[in-house]
Amino acid sequence: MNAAYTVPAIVLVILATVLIGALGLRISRTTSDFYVASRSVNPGLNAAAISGEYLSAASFLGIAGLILVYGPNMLWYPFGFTAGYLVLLLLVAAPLRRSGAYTLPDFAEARLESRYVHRVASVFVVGVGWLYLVPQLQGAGLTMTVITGAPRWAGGLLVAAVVTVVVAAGGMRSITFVQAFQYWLKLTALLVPAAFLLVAWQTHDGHRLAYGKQLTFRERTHVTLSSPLDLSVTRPVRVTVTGDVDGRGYAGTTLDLGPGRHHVEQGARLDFAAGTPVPDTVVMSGGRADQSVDSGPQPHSLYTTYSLIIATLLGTMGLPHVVVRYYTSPTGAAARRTTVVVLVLLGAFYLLSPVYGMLARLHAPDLILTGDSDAAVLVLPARLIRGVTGELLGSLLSAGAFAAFLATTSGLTIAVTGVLTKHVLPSRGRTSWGVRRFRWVTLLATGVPAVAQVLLGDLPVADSVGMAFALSAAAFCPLLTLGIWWRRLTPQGAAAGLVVGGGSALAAVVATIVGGMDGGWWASLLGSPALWSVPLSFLVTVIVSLATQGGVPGGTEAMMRRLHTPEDPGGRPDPAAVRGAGG
Amino acid sequence: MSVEPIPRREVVTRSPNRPRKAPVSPPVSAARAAVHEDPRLHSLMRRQLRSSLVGVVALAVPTALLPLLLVLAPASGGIRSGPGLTWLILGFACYPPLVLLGWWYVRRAERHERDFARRTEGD
Repeated sequence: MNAAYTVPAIVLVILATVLIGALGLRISRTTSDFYVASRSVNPGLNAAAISGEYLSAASFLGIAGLILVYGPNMLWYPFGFTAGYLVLLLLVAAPLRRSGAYTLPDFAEARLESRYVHRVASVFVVGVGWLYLVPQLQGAGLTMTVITGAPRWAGGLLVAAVVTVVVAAGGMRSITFVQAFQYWLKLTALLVPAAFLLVAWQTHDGHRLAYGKQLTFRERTHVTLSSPLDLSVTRPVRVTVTGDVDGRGYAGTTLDLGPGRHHVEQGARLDFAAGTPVPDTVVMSGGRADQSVDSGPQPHSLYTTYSLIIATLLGTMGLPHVVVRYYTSPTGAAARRTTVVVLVLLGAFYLLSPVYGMLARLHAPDLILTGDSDAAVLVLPARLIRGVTGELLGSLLSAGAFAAFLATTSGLTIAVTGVLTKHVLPSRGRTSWGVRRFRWVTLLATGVPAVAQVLLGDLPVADSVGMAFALSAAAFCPLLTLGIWWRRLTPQGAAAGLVVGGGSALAAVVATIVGGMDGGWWASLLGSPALWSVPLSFLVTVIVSLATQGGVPGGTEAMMRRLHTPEDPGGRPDPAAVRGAGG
Repeated sequence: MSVEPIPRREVVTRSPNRPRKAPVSPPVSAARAAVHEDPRLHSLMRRQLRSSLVGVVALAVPTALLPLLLVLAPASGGIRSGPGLTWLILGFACYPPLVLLGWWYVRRAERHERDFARRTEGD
């Protein structure tokens, strides 16, 4: 990709982000402005901001990359990412806004009157936030590598640094403007190249599609491997090799790889003729090569599909950066309407994911072999459209990808920082809402994931986002839905649900990241924990609550009234809510 | 903030303003007074929960059946095959129903709240 066009485009995005942030800073003056934009954000702007914040690296790059490798089944991701907002709308949107909670721990404390639940919830918010931040930074690193050849960790550190400055300088108000801008930027950045690509596709391919799993190289394709690779061949593949295959060195020799598993060393150059089927690999699935001989390149079984559906549908409501946004709606009814607009905006955006996924399967199957499938969106324009137009469109996509990293990272950062400042870190003597302290904590909030992304290497971007959703669903879905609709919930029950359900999901995710499971049922159960951990969390919450009915908080009835009764029609902020959140 | 902000797309659906005749007692003061159970609140919560659950079922049943349908569909054969249907349904066709369901729910929920406000006003 041509850095001469792309680097200026990215610099432009970063400058625009900082500039809009700075404009917001001039408007926001008081501490309360700084945190929640004094709740005067209008629903249209707020919906664009929610969508802009939510559409992350996983949405912009990751889904197309997964579709390229695993096929159309990965379209469950964008469906789940959108339908999660519908579940949020149906079950929690208006009451959550009326609770006056700025963070999930605030909600837990207001509803259950317990400092202990509040503490436990805070830990999980930070956990989900960090888990979600790591893939954003990794995606930024990948994009920088594809564009400039910079090392993987550099892009992540760059995004972390920009976000730290923007968040620490401007706070929430400027973030609202920034996020709304980012949504439209991201939509444009995907939409315009998609239009050009579809025209080019029609000209080149005459509407040819690739529905199924088997991919073929359309043209003669060279692949130079930057890391070792295991190929699982089902039908014999003819390839010209320069380098080491199965322990033997070749120099421009044409081989017929027979069925079975073949190991290709780093630095080898593979040369496939046009029409050769793409051999199955396991670059993206964490080394489960042996299975794919039988089942094709699809380690995602029906179990993983259902688990993913549960995680995304029930996990969206618990994402830390989503709750903060609901607080900026003026009333519960406005929060609901905002959510419907969000559904429209997200749906429009995700219509483009299958387009890029399909084109990537037709024109970029070699990325599966090099392990850069997450970069498929970025390289497509140059592949289909020759000359300056292709380069410019590629630059636009790179700028959009950077907008995605910046938006989601800053949203998560502000949420994690809020929780760290108010609930986790001790605040002796000083008021915990001080602006200066907020700025220092921002550094901590981005620093930890920035270091983690350097240490962890590459997990597929959308996969690790899926894990963050699973953790969020297991920890917070029972707390929110039961807290809003069930009078008999007790602090003991909620705490037990958080610790057992959320804790087991957290353990499963950590085991997957650290342990590198080698396929089989255990790997699926631990890598996609939502299908068992969410019901477990609900069960424990309900059983323990029923066993400790003496602990039902005295204010439950008053709280239920506040959650479910409409505000007065002027939409005046509820003074009790303001106090509750500001305390 | 005296005019309720409404997304432009929805203006045609119905009269935009919720009760013009403002309830005499803002629920804020009521919230502190109502320590014991209020049957009207219970009725509101039941109706809201029923609408929510109808919405959840309308989302959950097709979502739960779809993966099975896609697995059972023939593995090849163009747009009618499992992969072909996956592209079509998950890629494009699923989004309008999500928006429509959300829109339906918002109308229901706001109607319940208007009814509640009217009854509270009758005090």
